[in-house]
Order: sequence, then structure tokens, then C-alpha cells
Amino acid sequence: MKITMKHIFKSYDKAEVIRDLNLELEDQAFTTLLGPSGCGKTTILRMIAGLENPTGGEIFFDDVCVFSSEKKINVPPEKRNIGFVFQDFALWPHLSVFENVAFGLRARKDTADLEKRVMEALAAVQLSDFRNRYPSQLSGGQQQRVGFARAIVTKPDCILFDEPLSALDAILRDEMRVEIKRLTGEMGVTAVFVTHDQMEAMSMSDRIIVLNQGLIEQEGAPEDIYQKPATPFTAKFIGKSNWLGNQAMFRPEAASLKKTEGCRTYPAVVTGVQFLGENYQLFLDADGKQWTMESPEKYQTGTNVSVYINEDKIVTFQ
Amino acid sequence: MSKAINGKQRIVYFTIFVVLFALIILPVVTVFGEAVIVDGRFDFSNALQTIGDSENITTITNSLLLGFLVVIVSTVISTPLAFLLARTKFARWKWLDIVLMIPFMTPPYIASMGWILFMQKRGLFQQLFPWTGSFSENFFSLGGLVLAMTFNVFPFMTTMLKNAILNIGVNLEESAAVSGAGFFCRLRKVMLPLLTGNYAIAMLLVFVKVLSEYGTPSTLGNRIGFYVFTTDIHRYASTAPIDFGKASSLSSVLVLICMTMWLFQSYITSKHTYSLVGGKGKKESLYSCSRAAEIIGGVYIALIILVSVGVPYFSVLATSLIKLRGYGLAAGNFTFQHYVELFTKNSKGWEALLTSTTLAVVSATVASVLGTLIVVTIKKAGKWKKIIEGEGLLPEMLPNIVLVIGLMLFWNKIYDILPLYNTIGFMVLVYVVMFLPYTIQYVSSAYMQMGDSLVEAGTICGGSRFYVMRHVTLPLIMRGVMQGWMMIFIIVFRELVAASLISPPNVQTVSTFIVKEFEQGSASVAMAMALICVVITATLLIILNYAVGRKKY
Repeated sequence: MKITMKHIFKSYDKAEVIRDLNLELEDQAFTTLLGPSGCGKTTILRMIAGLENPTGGEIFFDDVCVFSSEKKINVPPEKRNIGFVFQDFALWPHLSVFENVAFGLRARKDTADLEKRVMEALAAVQLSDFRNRYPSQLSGGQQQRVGFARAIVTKPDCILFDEPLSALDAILRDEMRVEIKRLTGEMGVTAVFVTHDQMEAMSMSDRIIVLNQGLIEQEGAPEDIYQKPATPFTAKFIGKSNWLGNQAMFRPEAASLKKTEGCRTYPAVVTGVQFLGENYQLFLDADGKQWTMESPEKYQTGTNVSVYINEDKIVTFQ
Repeated sequence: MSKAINGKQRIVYFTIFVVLFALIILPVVTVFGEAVIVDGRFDFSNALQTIGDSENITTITNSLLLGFLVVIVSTVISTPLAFLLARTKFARWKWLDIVLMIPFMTPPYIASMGWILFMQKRGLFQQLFPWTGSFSENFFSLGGLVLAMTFNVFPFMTTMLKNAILNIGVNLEESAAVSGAGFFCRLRKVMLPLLTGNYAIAMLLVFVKVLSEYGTPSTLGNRIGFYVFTTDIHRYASTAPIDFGKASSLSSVLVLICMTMWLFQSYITSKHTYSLVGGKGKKESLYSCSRAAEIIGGVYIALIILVSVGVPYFSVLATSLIKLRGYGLAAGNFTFQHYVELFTKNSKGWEALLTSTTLAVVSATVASVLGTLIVVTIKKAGKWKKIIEGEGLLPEMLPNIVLVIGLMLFWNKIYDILPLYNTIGFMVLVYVVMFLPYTIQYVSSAYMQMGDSLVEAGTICGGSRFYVMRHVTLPLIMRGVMQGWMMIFIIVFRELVAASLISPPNVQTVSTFIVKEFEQGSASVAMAMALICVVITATLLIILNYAVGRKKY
């Protein structure tokens, strides 16, 4: 299912959060809305779900209009047939795992083969054995998986994820990333994922939309966004950036301390060193600008070095 | 989230507002009106005359003096107790919390009767300790009244202070200790400054409680000729010559005092309490005490329990079992006769139990349904929510007796339109208005704990508004509703003020039955009923706790 948002405006009281947003989310793709907190990404997701109404504009699911301020169309959330995975899991504490997942089917009175379909969804998230437990008896990761099973059991056309991994610890987060990506891929649904974590965005997405203050800064494949940031904001927000003045930057891996032909050379002083395991991270002062890069060798603080930067990898902004 | 409030919603909110206005605000306004409107014109002279009357001046000073003394004694008793229960090994004895709530849950008039039976001439105290002579009769004085009221109300203060102390992370004290402050220095420089606001709030609330209390002053206070607001208001409103003008004037003064205290209280709450961010600092934190200190603490706690729980309950139990009061506590002078009498002789006792049970069940149910509907409806009502909540919670701030007087006057005036006055139905109405705040508070807090996302998840999963309401919202707030229901049931079951003022002719409730029997000299029958009443309510509380604790979420 393709989701299209046209000229969307959204304001709370007097504060305008979103201004004339135009957005297309491709069918069966995994798209991430990435941006700092307060950039409007969760609002966009909630407007797609129908939990929040735009002040103006239109939203289409394929060719069907689900919201239009002009035509006074507003399909309520329960009629939009979507899945939603909440940041705080939002599992109903008074219902067992089985009943949490079955809720959507029962609410739609779609109870043919209920048992089988619920158990399939639970099997997909490897929680078949937990069907009679209550949410409070599950770990955070298990709870999130129940949330996911609940979102897929009704076979929605699209699943929306609202920072679903931010309440989990680092190890679980890595596991769930792989699992979510695998399951949405297998199901062939349109997935929209909201996060402020650039690593999460880059590792999971087919496409990333970078948002800032309610506006789209850039959209594209993760590689493009990282290697060819279109604006200084994107360059700073995603990955580490070292700046050569205000309008030119390079990524740490574009620099080397070994003399290389066809590179620009800059003198710098080592101001700090951190051991990372496979490498050392160096903090450099290059004529007043603060850079970081990795090096296989250790340098003492205060050492003068020459930094060689691959000219092709320098990104300039106008 | 912030959807604009549309016309239909506005009509609903306005309707709730109007209903609550008629049920709560108008009766209160009527009290003031009755005090200052004479023959259709404003006339403050009557009210001023009433207030200026030397007899009433005495009443007012009596009330204030009583409130002041009870606050002082409660503070003195509660301070060590709160520290012992928060910061020593007694904190681990959770059952102490429950035992200390017993006096607070005991109807004050029953506890006072217990005290009277214990201390009076040839009472239980003199029988147990004959060598003390007539010493115990000193209890029938202002000092005794202050003690009886203190032992009823102090757990309220202890709990507030204890929670305040628990809220102060031990890290604050540890950091003071590391900075070189000794125990008393820490107490003075860290604990007390942080607790000042809590002390002030607890003291004001106790003061208001004492001023609003009717049970103890009516049993013990009247006996020693110490009249306060509530007893005088009650007298003007119930004993010939009935004078509602005077009752209203005194009520108005009482309300003004209480409201000032509430305002003062909320001002202090906003200005002088600290938000202590807990984090990891809230681990259990006990002082290391010397053996001697522990023993002294233990003896202190035991003594408080003995006096505040032991004496009244021993007295009630013993009296209810004594065959002939003249023989006193003697082997062979015990009988269950009085319990049998309750249910056989004229069946008055049985009828009273039945009436109170019916009243409690109906009032609790109506208040719960009404309160829950209100809370659920106004959840997203913006400024309407504040207004309606304010209305709904108002009865809690008013002394019950004033609320009853207001409702009596108001429903008397509209008797031609709605002839409810002087019926059991009117009693239900009064109780619903009086205890609506309980439901609103319990359900609101259950509602607050339930995040928005649970309802949103329900709609996204395809549930309609009513489906989500029935399968998500209601089950989750049910615990709050049940708690509110149970509290209302318990309190209505043995409520005295309203019952004694508005019971229809020939209808007795548990409380009026007890008071009547007690005053007519059948103390044993009264105490048998009191005990049954306490056992029923305590059993319900235990069932409630069990049911709430059993749930898996």
C-alpha cells in the first residue's frame, strides 16, 4: 500500500508543528522518518494512523482518501486497517498475551480460525509458549514482540512503528532490529518507522526521510544520505562530521594520517585519544576546528600530525 | 489529542455542570442565603446577631480551642511515630501500618462511647484498677475530649508525615552526614526544613477535620457541656425550637473557616513543598539505632496502640458481653444475650441493620456510576474538566453537617416540585452528594495511571469507541471504581450526622440505633451493635484488599 500525504498542515493551539508537508511512502518498502525530538515525525505517524487530525491537507492510502480537510473526509483509526507498534508497548495489562493479540480480530468480529491465526502471529514472534501469560510477566523485549504480533495478526496493509525500540536495552534493540526487518520483509507490508536513532535508521531502512522542524531535509537510500548529505543539518545529524569551514565537510573514514597521493593535507594537533578495541579514536584540533577520526595506531596527546583527506569524499554545500 | 471541543460535547459538559450545580452548589448557597436573607431582603443583622451572641461566641472559641489543642497533641504524638515507622526497623513491620489505621477507621462516636464506658464512674477502668479511686473521672473534661479526638485523628497525620519522610531520599541525609553533620544537626538542618510544608499541611487538615467532626463532640462533648460548631448546628436544626437561621449562620462561619484553611493549605502545598526527585536514592534507609533506643521506640508504639485501639475496643467488646453492668467484669457475668436481643426484641436492631445496608449499597452504587461517568466523560474536556472536577470535589472540603443542612434547606424549598424530602430517597441523595468525591478521586487516579496509548491501541486494532470502552477502559478503571464503592459503603453504613438529621420518622440506621440505645442506658445492646458494625465493615475492607491484591496487573 502506498501512502501519500499532500499539503499537510498541523498546529497545536497556535504552534505550527507541520507546514505544507508532501510525502510519499512507497508500497512494501521500509521507510524511516528520522529526526531530532520535536521535529514532527511522531505527529506524522499519528496522522497516518488517524490518532491525530491534520489541520489541513489530504492523506491517501493508495487511491483511497482517508483524510481530507476540504472534502471533510476522516476515516477513524479503527477503519484504516493498519498496525501500530507503540513506544511504550501499550499492551492491555488485564488481558493475557493471547487475548492481547486476539483483540483486533474480536473487535472486528473476524473470529473465523481465531485460535489458529493468533497462534501463527505468536509463532512469528516466537512467543507461542507464552500465550497464557500476562504482560506484567514478560520482559521488555517479549512485551514488544507481543505488540508486534498484535499489529500483524489482522494482516494490515501497513505497519507503523513509533520508536518501538527506545524502551529496550542495547542488546535487545539489536536483536529486535533484525527481527522487525525480517518479519516486515517476509510479510511484504509497507512499514513506516519513526526514530531519532540514526544507527537504527541506517541499519533497517530501504529509504530514510530526514525531518527537521516539520520539514523534509532530505530523502533517499541510507547510503546516499550518509555519503551525500544534502544539507549541513543532515551531515551533522547523521554520522560524524568534520568541518572545513561552514560549507564543506568530510566523514572520519575519508581521512588518514598516512601520506596518500591526490589528497588535501592539513596540519593538526592530537588533543585526545580513546581506545575503541579495533582502533583508536583521535580527537584533533585543526587550526581551531575540532575533528575526530580513527587510527590503527596510538598517538600521544599533543603530537603534531598531518591529516590527508580524499578530495572526492569532501562534501560541499552552497 | 487536542481536538477542538465541538458543540455536542459542549452540551454534555454543560449538562453535567448544571446537574452538579443543582446538587452541590445550590444547597451551599442556600445555607448562606438562609443566614443573610430575611423576608426576601439581604439582612446581615440577624446573622451578625447570631454570631455575636455570647453563647455562640463561646461555641466558636470552643471549636477553635479544641482544634488547636488536638493539632498540637497529634503533632506531638505523630512526630516520633512517623520517624519510627519510616526510618527504623519498625518500618519493616508492615502490619503496624494497618493496626494504626484502625482508630482512623473506627467511627468516632463508637470510639467515644468506648472511652466513656471505660472512664466513667464505676466504669471498666475503675473495675480494673480499683486503687485509683475516682482518678479516671478526670477524663470528663476538655483534656479528655482532646485525647479522644486525637486518638481518632492522629493516624492521618502520622501517615502523611511518614510518607513525607520516606520521600526524602536517604542520600540527602547521607550527603549531610558525609559533610560532617551529626544526627541532630541533620534533623535540624535537613529533615525539618524539608518537612515544614508537610507539617503545615497535615496540621491544617487535622484542624479542619476536628472542626468538622460531629461524632466525638456529640457523645463526649455534650456530656461535659463543651459545645462546638457541629453540635450547636445540629441542635439548632433538630431540637425544638428549631432555628435554621441560626444553624445557617453558624454553618456559614464554619464553612468560611474551613475554606480559608483549605486555601491556605493549597497555597502551602504549592509554595513550600519540595519536589524531591527520587531516582535511585529511594532505597530502604534505616537509621542504625542502639538497642535501648529500639526498646524505647517499641514501647512507645505499643503504648500508642494500646491506648488508641486497645482501650476503645476492649471497652466496646467487654460492655457488649457483660450481663449485668452492676457486677462488672466478673466471671459468670458474661453473656451473648445482647446480641440475641438485637435481632429479636422488637426487631428494631435488625431493621436498622437492613436499612443501613440498603442505604450503603444504593448510595455507593449510584455515586460510583455517576462519578465514573463524569470522570470518563470529562477526560478531554479542557477547562470544563477543571470546573466540573471542582464542583464534584467540593463536598469533600465542606463539613458534612453543613452539606446536610444545605441539602435539607434546599430540598425543603423545592418540596412542592420534587417531594423527596423526608424519604429514604433523600438520604440516598445526600449520601451520593457527600461521597461523590470518593469515586471521582479513585476513578481519576486509576484513569491517570492508564496511558492514552492503551485506548489508542484499541482503536487502531479496530475497536469502536464503545468496544474499547467496554473491553479496555472499564476493566482497567474497575479497581478504582470498586475501591470507591467499598469506601462509600463502609462510611455510609455507619454514618451519623446525616442519619440523625434526615432519617424519616420511624426509620433507624445502625448509627442512630447505637446512639439511641446508648443514651437510653442500654449500653450493652449499643455496643453489641457497634461491634457487629465494625466487624462487617472490617470484613469488607479485608475482602477488598484481597480482591485488589489478587489481580495480576
